[in-house]
Amino acid sequence: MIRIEGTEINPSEHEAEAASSSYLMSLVVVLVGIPLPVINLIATIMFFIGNRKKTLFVRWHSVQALLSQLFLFFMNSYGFWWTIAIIFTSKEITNNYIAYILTIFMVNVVELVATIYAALETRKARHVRMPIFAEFTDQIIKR
Amino acid sequence: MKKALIQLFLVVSAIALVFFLLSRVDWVSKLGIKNLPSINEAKIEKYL
Repeated sequence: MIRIEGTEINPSEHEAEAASSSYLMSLVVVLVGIPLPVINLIATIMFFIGNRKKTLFVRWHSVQALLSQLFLFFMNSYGFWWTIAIIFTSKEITNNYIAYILTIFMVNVVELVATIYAALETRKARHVRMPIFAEFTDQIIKR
Repeated sequence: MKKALIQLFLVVSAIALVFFLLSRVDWVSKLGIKNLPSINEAKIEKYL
């Protein structure tokens, strides 16, 4: 039994597969998403739109995947446009730029590991609550 | 919700701290990075 905001659900095999796919969606497009951070976000938004009428378990996990990608999107976009500015304008590589790129690399690695773990666990029909995003997901799903 | 906001604040603070500590290192001289002319500058010089 899984508890999401006071609701007990027992996800079926199909539901577990669909919920796991919401995390896999962001991993599949990771190769495209590295140079263009918005691609990952668009992929998870499209998956969420496609699954918004499905069961609570699937919806809940697609929202959590979407929020985790949204958090990364803001960080990666800043790094992306900073890099573009260095390549195409007279901006120079500074210590702050290298520090920022290293920081977002670390955050991306942590998020990647968390997403792989979440995809594997939800496939086994286990409910995974990521810190920060789970609470916000509860608030969004409650409406 | 309050718990989520506190967690968000802690994570953002931790990321900011990592960035602050990494920015103290003189990466440019340590890695020997030479700032190459930007693409625009290179193009302009080519046509001059």
